[in-house]
Amino acid sequence: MSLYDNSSREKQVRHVLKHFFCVAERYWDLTGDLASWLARWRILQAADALDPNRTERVERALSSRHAVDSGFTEWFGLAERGLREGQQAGQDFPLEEPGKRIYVGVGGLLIVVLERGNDEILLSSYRAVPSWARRSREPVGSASVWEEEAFIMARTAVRRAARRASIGTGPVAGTFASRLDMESRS
Amino acid sequence: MTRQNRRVVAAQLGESLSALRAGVGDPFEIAVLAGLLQRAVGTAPDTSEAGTLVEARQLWDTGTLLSTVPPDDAGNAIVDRLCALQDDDSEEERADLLQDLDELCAGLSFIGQSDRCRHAAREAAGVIRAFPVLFRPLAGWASRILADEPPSAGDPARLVWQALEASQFPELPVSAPACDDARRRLGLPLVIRRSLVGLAPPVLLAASELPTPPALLPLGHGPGYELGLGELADGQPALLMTSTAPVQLLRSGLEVALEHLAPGFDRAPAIAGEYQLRVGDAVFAFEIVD
Repeated sequence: MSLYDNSSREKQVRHVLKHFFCVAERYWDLTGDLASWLARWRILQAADALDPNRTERVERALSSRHAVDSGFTEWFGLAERGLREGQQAGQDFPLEEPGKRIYVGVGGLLIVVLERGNDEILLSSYRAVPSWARRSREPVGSASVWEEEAFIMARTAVRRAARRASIGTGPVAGTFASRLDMESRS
Repeated sequence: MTRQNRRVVAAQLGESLSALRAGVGDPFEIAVLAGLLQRAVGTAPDTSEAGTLVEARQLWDTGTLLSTVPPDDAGNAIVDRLCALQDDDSEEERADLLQDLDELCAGLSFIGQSDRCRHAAREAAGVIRAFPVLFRPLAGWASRILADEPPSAGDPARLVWQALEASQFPELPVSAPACDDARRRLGLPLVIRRSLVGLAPPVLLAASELPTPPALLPLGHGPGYELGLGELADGQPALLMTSTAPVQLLRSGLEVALEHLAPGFDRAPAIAGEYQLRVGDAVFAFEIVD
């Protein structure tokens, strides 16, 4: 099966700004390259082009267009990877609408797809961020706190996908999978 | 909550408690998970669920769960994001935002601080009511949540799920003056849409004691008569009348042939047009549109 994104350019830009360049979603955890992410985020910030509701601002400068284009490539690549990880780990949550399902990849990445024959159409991909867990704690030098926060995000993704799919009919992913996924990464 | 989802939440609560014992967990996550599990198990937890819930309650008793309570504006921030949703945001992103607020409410309710999210829940319910079309695809899910893992009466999340469930009710087109009573008082004919008869009955999984819905939609009644909109065997809309006196139905001034189903019970096809129902001295005027 192949994953496709058939959305318009405007929607792609919106996805990238809303999710990939959203600080709270911490996509650099998944790419493993904070410096690259931060450099592009700063370009977009300088161009006042980080607002997902004002996607036209991205098109005003070549540098911000490039930042978003490469962000989209990474965002889509992570969705492809997350889909495979979700399939392999059985983190697959069918929804009520026929063919629509959520996969949960490593690190709590949610990938929402619609099956079309042998292909899957990407509807959205994002990290479920529990806003109630975000607070002004700065764990400078405390890797264990960040690590636990990553576990919380992974648990949140699995839990929300499972609850959302509660009207579906397929299997619900196993327990403890979030922690096992995270441990397999480290 | 299905049994499997309940297991996921129970297992996650166990993980979160273990993390806290190891000194790295987030106490509020425990409150959230315990709140969700409490809703799901009601008064019938199994031994393992009861054990984890007791441990979570002990942490509340000792004040541990109060150490990382989210700031007061946490709920408002979610509502702001809800307001920023656009038509092309996926259903799942909408569902995720609602779950975010739901989890906040579950956690705060578990630690007895539900008032801290009540305003946000009311605001969110208002947003859903104001833009039901955006949320309608999630209505069935809300109904399932209310049936399987209902928030307690004091949990503000209940307002959100109820508003979401109610978003499935169609917005009926109305014309000025919008109110049927006002039209009657002004002597204007009632406007009735034939398509009303084809509407599927809403599914309300959490409502167990509602009366069986009537097979026809009541349109009007007066001394000695009742008028309703139902359907014929072929699914076409029909006017159904019961009366204690002879009935005359006029469409655009011409008498309509009535099908007598039983003494005092008549039927006629509901075709678009202006009608008058005459029963004795009473006259009921209405208009049927497509």
